Amino acid sequence: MTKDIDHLTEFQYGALEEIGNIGMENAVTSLSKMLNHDIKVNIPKLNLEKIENVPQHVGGAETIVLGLLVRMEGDLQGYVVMLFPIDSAKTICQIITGEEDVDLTDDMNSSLMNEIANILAGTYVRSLADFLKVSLTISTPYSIHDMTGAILDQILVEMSQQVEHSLLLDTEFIVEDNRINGSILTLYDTQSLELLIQRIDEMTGSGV
Amino acid sequence: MSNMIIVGMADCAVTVPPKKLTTLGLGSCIGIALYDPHVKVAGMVHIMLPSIKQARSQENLAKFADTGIPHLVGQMEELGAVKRRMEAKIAGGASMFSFNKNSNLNIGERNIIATKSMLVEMNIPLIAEDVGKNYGRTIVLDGENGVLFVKSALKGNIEI
Repeated sequence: MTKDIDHLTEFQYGALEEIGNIGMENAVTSLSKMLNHDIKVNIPKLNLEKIENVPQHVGGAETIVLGLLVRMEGDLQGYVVMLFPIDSAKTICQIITGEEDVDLTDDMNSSLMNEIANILAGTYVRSLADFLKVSLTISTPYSIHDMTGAILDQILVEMSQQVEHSLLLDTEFIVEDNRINGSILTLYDTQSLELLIQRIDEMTGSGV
Repeated sequence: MSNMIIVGMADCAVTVPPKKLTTLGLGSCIGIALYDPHVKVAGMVHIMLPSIKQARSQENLAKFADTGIPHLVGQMEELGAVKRRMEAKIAGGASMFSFNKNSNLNIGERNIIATKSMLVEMNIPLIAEDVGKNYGRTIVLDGENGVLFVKSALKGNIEI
């Protein structure tokens, strides 16, 4: 049992959401610069969940997507998962390479998408690390073309070996003309969550 | 879809025809389908980990191969199924990615091994499988005939 889960105050919840929001805004801004298009981001949804309940929050287990994954390492452990509908991933490649017919399995496009994962996750993790004054790095990205459920499944399994709960931060973004959308999920394990809360409490001086 | 019972992650369910059981988007988890053809009782469990022994929380039996299978068998017996008539089919246990270079067996493989050894221990014959590799699967077990339909995103669909 993790005591913090039962005792997460409304204020701590709000602070966690805000931290996620800052990171996501920065990450998506970097994507928007790269694509030279404005991007709308919605406010992240925050859920503290038993690991086996996470798929219900993400929905569309069978939807086929391009998933880009990065593992966070350092003071906080977790994953950043970016899910792009196939058409959106193709549009991103089209905008950047100027190619008409995009084959996502082709080497150039897949390394392009990995680079996007690197930039998005890198910006997110860096702003998080700066804000919380923690040390964080990211792994090299993985891209997987498969069902949403299957992509999340292994991450959740890996996490469930250590912990029972995960903090899920789910943000959707849409490029203004609606041609690209996607979602970014951040998953922390419960140990990292404890550290996050400790930092929030230290910063606000509210040692709850 | 109304005939379809969805089995979530670390969840299990049993049914009889005309209903079907399904679990969506298996990655390194394993979907275990048991069927007693004599009374047409079907059961499915979606396990995440090989063994409850290392687990911190031991509340959910359906989460582990070593407890999920006996748990499912018990539920099927309540519907009139008999263990010695049961047959097993399994799918999943993929390795979607690997960040962990130093572990020699990935979690998908460990789930496959644990599942098979539990089936042997319980004397339930494994009559078909579609496991491993690096892609996700959705499975549907038909309560009418025990056929297991395996769908994947890019590798087509098969019946086992």
